[in-house]
Amino acid sequence: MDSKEYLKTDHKNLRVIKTEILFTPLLIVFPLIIASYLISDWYLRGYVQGNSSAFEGELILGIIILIGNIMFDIPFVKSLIHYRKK
Amino acid sequence: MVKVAEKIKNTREKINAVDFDAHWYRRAFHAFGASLIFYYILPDVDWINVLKIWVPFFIVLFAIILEILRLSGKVSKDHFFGLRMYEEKRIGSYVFFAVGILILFDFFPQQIAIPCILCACLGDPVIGELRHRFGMRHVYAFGFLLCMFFFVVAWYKSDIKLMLLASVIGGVGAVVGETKKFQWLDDDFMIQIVPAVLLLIVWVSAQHFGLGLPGPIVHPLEMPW
Repeated sequence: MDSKEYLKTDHKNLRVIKTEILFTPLLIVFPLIIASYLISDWYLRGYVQGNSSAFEGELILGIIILIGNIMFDIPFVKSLIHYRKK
Repeated sequence: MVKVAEKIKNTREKINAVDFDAHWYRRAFHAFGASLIFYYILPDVDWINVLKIWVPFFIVLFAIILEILRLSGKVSKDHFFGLRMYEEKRIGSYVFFAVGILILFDFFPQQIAIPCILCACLGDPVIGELRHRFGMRHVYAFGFLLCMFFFVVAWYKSDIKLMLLASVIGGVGAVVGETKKFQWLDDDFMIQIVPAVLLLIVWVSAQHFGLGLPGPIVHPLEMPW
């Protein structure tokens, strides 16, 4: 999709590809950790201690980050698998 | 020894076979930006507050220097993945994105900064994706509603009239910011800063008129000591 829009890089350049490979787990895992933390913080410091209204914002924010990232990570990972099979 | 060399060769072949879809890489990178609000989770302790100022500043400074080196040809564009054609001879969007977030962190309260970051990180790629599938008018209407929702989440604890005002102004500001793209000012910057500046005016005005402002959305981690 939109491959013509993007600058071409020399794909034989191992350093570039390695950098992207190193970034991929961070791109996918870090937002999930942050979203999980926000949801668990709502539960532990809010819901369990009977103060959930003060932490509702964190819960919604956690859900937004979770859904937003999954929405874009799935096609990204699919494209990775697709190219790997090529 | 031969086996090790063979393994290295195989691994290199595998790595060479991996190609990335720049389009989805860019989208995933945008969405990743939403997790940067972990900045507000960091404990409110003196030495961490100092780090909160300087670490983002040096990261952005590093990105700016890298871009200057790329534009001057001292670093090859082959070292950058997912750049768009129009970014070949101008500063990459990621720098504008980072500068916008740095300004929000340093000069705006989190009630303004967080929804603006969400607009850039999630609103912008959603609008971009929908643009491929639907007409422009529908896309911006949806983009407005989505960005408005982010402001509702941040301002729902305030006075209801103030919440509605802030969410409409924020949504309009984000969509206007998204549509504006200049040679030296990218939409990734504008989508954050336009609504932020408009909401800062609302924030200051609300204080002046004694309206109930929203409390913080994210609470910093409490240090066990």
